[in-house]
Amino acid sequence: VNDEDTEEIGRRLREMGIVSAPDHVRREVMRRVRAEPRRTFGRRLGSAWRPALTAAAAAVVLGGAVVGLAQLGAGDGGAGGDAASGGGAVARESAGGASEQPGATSGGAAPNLDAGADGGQQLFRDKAMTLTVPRLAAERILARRLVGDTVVIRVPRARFQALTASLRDARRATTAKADDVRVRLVAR
Amino acid sequence: MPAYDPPVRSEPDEALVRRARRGDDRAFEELVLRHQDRLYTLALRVTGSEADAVDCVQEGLVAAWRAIGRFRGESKVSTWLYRIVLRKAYDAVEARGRRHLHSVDAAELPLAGPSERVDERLDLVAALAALEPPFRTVAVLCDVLGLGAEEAAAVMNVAPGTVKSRLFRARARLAERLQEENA
Repeated sequence: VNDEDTEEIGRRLREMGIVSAPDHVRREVMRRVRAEPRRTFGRRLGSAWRPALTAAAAAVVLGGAVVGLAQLGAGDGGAGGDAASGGGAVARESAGGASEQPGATSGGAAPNLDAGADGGQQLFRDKAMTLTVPRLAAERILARRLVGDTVVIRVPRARFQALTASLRDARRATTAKADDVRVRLVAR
Repeated sequence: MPAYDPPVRSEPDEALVRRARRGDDRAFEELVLRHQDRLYTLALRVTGSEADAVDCVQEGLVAAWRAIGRFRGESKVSTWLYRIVLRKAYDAVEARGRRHLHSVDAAELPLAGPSERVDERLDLVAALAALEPPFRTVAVLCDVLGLGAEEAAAVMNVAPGTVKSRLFRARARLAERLQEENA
């Protein structure tokens, strides 16, 4: 076999040419392709944006978690006056005839986050406060009739400290215990 | 004026692959249309069987669709498709053994021409089918399909120098076989 022979073979192989695929090949392939679960493989967003989007998503999740915790801490069991009867922390009277539980929850459906660990109490002290106060004095300060042993009052955040101070003063000013009411103030 | 307009390739293969990766099956169908004949030719010449060739092309193209998300564009699209179909063809040859490699079908026959040409062609097809798969493959890729040594090397995952030496030996063996038959 010499070079001419191999060149001749090469020429004859080239002459064999391309053979057309039967018509049903494409149809069958596409039928099977379209029967596959549809999915996309490409990245619709450029890779340069992905770290920034990931960081933004993490920030949103973290922010949402903080806000959610704050809402839970400030939440009450509803506007009803006897929400604490559902099993929440009960204010205990001190030797002075009144009691104060900073951040004690009114119970009911509200989680007990602000009555938990000390850190939790500190965290939510400025948003919720439970005081045991003579009923008449409390009604005068809050300018409303209070029904039941425990009431939950949502007040504007700007007035929260002032109302808390007034209730505390009213509690100190009397030793009567006959008709006390537990008032839970929650800052809006 | 030409009698017909040849198909216009408005989009390169790589653009069709990008569309297909986004789930565009029409883009993939365009790829199938462009490459199915050459893929079928490769499978037919390597397996020596029409039925096996059809299976190889169909299985190969469906496998390509499933794997298109992993195609990184490091080779030409055609090279990638050749590689997939060639693997299917090798699997078919291995599964079937070599006993049917000499089957010849209607696709081998020229549409017209003297009977000597038909005989020559059938002899060549039979001789090609009798080669060992690596030599048969290189002859098909380089001579029948017209690939360069570099691209054939990429399809076969060997060095370009290996392709050249195998091609020379494949042609030499074919020439020897045909000379023996003529004698």
